[in-house]
Amino acid sequence: MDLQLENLRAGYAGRAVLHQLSLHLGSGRIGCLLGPSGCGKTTALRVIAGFEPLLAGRILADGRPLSSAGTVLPPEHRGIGMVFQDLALMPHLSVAGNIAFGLHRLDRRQRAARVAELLSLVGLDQRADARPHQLSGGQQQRVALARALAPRPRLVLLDEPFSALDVEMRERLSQDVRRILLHERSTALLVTHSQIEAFAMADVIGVMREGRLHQWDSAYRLYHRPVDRFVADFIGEGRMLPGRREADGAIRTELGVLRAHSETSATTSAQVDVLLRPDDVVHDDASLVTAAVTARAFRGAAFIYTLRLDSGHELLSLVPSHHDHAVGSRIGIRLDARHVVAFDQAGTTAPGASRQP
Amino acid sequence: MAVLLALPTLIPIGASLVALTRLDAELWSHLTHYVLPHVLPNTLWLLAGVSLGVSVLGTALALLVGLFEFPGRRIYAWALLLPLAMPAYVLATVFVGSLDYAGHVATFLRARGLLLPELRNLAGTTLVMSATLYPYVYLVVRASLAAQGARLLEAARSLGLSPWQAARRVALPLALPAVAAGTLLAAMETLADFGTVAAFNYDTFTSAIYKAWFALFSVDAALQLAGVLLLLVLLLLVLQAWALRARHTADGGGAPATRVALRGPAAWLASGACALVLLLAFVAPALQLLLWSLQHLADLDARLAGAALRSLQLGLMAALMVTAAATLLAFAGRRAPGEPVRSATRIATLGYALPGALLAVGLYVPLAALIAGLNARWGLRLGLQGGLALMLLAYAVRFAAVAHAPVATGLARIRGSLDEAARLAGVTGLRQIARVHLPQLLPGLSAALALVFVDVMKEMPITLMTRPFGWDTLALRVFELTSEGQWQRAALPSLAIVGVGLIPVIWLMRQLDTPRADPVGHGPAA
Amino acid sequence: MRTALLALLLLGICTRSLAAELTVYSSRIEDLIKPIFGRYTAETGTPIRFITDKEGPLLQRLRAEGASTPADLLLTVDAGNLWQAAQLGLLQPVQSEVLAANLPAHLRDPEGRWFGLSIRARTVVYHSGRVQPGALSTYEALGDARWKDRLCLRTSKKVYNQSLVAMMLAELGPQRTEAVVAGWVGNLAAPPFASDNEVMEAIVAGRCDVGLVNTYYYGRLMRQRPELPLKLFWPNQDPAEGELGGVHVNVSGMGVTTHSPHPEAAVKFLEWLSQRPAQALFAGLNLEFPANPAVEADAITANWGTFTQDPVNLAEAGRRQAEAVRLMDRVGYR
Repeated sequence: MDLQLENLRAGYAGRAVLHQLSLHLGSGRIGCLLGPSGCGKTTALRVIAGFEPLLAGRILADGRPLSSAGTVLPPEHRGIGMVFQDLALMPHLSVAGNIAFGLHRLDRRQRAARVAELLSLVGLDQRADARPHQLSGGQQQRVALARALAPRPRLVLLDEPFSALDVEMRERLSQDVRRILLHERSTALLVTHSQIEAFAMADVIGVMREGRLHQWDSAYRLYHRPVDRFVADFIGEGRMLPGRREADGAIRTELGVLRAHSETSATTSAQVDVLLRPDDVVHDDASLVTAAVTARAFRGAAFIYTLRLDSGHELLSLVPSHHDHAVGSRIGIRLDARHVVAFDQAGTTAPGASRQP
Repeated sequence: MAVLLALPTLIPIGASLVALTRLDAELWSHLTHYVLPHVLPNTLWLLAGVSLGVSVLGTALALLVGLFEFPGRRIYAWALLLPLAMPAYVLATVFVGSLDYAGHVATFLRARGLLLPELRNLAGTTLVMSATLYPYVYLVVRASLAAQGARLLEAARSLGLSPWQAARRVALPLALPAVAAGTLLAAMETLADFGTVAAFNYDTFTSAIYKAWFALFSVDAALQLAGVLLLLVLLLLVLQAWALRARHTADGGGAPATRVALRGPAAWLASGACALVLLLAFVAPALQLLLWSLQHLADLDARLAGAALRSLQLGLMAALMVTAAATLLAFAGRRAPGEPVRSATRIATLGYALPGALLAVGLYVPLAALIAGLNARWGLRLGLQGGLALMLLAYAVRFAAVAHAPVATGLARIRGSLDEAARLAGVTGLRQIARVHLPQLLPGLSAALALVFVDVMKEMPITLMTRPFGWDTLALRVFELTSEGQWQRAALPSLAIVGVGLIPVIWLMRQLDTPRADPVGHGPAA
Repeated sequence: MRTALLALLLLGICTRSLAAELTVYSSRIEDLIKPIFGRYTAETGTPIRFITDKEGPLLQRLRAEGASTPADLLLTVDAGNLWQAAQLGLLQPVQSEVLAANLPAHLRDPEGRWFGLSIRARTVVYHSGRVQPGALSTYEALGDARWKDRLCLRTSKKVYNQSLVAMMLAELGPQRTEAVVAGWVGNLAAPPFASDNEVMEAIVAGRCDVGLVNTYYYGRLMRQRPELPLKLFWPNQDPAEGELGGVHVNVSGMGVTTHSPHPEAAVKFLEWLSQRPAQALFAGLNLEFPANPAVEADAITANWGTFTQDPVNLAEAGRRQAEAVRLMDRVGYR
């Protein structure tokens, strides 16, 4: 299903939870809404599922309206499946019973065949008669997914689907879920606060805060071309370094002049902040510029050093782990930024970057 | 401790078991030939009818009011509990007095060619008892719906089920344990009832017990029959446990379900169904009582006020004490889950199915005999002349089941991990109960308090037997007037019972309707 | 002076302990006893306290309390339960010439353990429009075919009906009694009612034409609605063989408990109750008839005419009550 959200506004009359939310999710694609808790992403899902009304805006499925202000197509008529954060498995039904729950329009034979197909797809053939409480967290998760997929919904919504699982299980399962969703050719929209999950599963990701969608883009572009400070800060790691735009467009910082192959910035003033990712700051013993190590995090193949420049500004640097420098020592660094991301220092012209509600 | 709490109940039960050893063959031959063949089928049919009636009425109304929005729903939500305040024997009197052949409503309709069916039979008795007892089911099912939360219903909707289908396939099966618990209470009250069946002259097992005692002058036979009755109740309890063996109650996520607005005929049908039940079970009978009361307004005096005050005091004290005892019992079940405590609990809740007068005697007689024995042995002059302590003890035996059901259900919903977390934080024992459990138990506790209060307000035989000299309650006024056939004069104190009983019912309803923090600790979803 | 004060004080203590307080266990309701008890206290200074309950629990209570009972007197509204109390040894024999002189022999225990204080007559009530009084004769005749589907009765679980059938058993024998009661059951126009009032209302409503009621229910109803077409009939006034010896009467009566703490005071109270002011008050409060034949009935009850009572001793009502109940069970009188 091709999902189109147009200027959604939802919540209570006095206190909207969603503002001007618009996005487009193409048929067969897996989308993700990413943001800290309380950002409105779950409300967005519930509005799409039809559990909550809209104050303004429209939701279109394949061009036909599902919700608009005042009219809501009941959830059961939307053909949208949902995997709930707490899974919401029916405690009084077996695994097979749960999966068959939405198949009441099929006859007995078709229903059994579909249940068997899904059981094998999620790898629970052996547990068809078990009750939900007898399953592990990962197994329950798969039952919930199978149940949502069983009626072949046009769109599957997943609300923090892995929040109850441990990290290792999350990664494995998110791969599984992506495989299963692709196998079923479902369009899917996922909600999570974990970048790892989002990156692992989604084709397109939206970063949300305080009810607003800041950027709706691929993972690569969110990381390398954040549209504002919030996205820059929320996705990946990095620090801001002040600089001054020269007449030729290059940016002069205390680490030298940045002249990039490409640049994402909507700056209007001369005073800017440049986003420096850890891989933009390269360790170079030959460099004249040095910084003091204030902290370090061992990441196996690499260290991430937190460095303080003489000016007092902080940087992160990704350094191969055979360069072992103690906290307090000074190391030489230089910039190696292929792509420059800069924001006005005032930070007010970037869309929604640090706006208060 | 649970065993200790079960002890008082064991006294009357023991009395009936002892009586079983003194069978009077000739009397039993009469009973088995002429009495039991009549009352046993009567009792079972009534039991089946009332169980069906209360479970269908209570569940349907709770689902309707809990899951849907329709005109008047907010009022019905609490008003549907009102019949709880109406004693079944009073409703029976009103029904017979107005709808039986000679009743003024029946006479009015007959004059216009409409002949009402005979009322004083199984159908009429079932109707009246269902109308007063359905709130037990309604109450627990509504609590269960609130605990289920919205998530499972939403899941069902997202899987293509209409609101009605979701109610039937999700909410209903998950509420079944609650339906069973409420129905069991109603069934036990049906077995213990005497006043209602007497008004309809419909003979049940209880009638046979009183016949053996009062008419055939055989207390032994009465106790023996009570023993048989208790076996029947035990069978019911075992049946319930068996039927629910594989049931899981849902601690569903999320806020209580958003009600689905009904439109058009469905909305008016829902509204009309609630109105009809309320009209039959409460409004019309209360109006009738009011009309009768107006003819005896002279009785509206200090004595009635005193009786009302006494009823109120007794109800409050009993509610607090019985609920406290039932809560202890429920905690014992949580701390030491196992057969001993389970059996003790079962025994402690049996008292609800015993006919009140028999229970009063079964409790009073052994105690009085003990004191008489002490006096004879030691030359003392102790007296057991009734008294508050004995009264409250008897109430506890009688109503433990009523208080236990909602408290135990509420307790079961509190996760065990909370106990553990509290222990790690150094909060243990009574402090843990006070700080961790009680706040979360509030809905269950308030239901228990209200139910016991209302039941004590309506109670007669125990109050009669154990009250101190000169004590007067509303139910006793009703008893005195009706025992001399002054039914219409009894309307005023009956109405007063309803009025005072309304206080906790309304309080309870406000508790139920106040949105509260999610009991299982899911914060508001992001 | 000080000695005098001390003496007075002692005297005060003594009088208080001498003034016996009487305790009554009563199945007669508070409204019908409190005014009389109050009058006695006013006249004699003897306070009376009481509890009310059903007879069954009261007897069990007395039995269990044994020697430590606080009760001096047992008051019931029928003879059967007094007989049963005597049978259980809960009442003591009282020899009192005053009581023997004031109360007819058939209304008290031959051994003096209980005494009927007011008469509750159970008689025939009929619809004055549909029934000619000439058609009525005896209790027994209500079993005849002419009353098919015209008779209404109260439930057999009420002690008044049990006493009536018990007296018939004593006077008519089991076979004849069973035939009569079976005849009644066959003639019933409606299932038995829970109260005498319902019987009368059913007659008014046209469901049946005759019934059996205690007279005070009739009196109370007619006082409220004098226009009702109901009349009383005194049956068995000219009894033949196989018929009850007169109108069936029951009593509300009293006995002194075996372990009464104040037996003399209890007897004095009983004697006071058997005399004029108390007799009129006791019966008059509930439109009953005084047991003492020398005391005239009040205006309302006197209006119903005089009648001959069944002269057989009421102890039979208790002695044969269980048998009567079994008989009614057998013939399906519910």
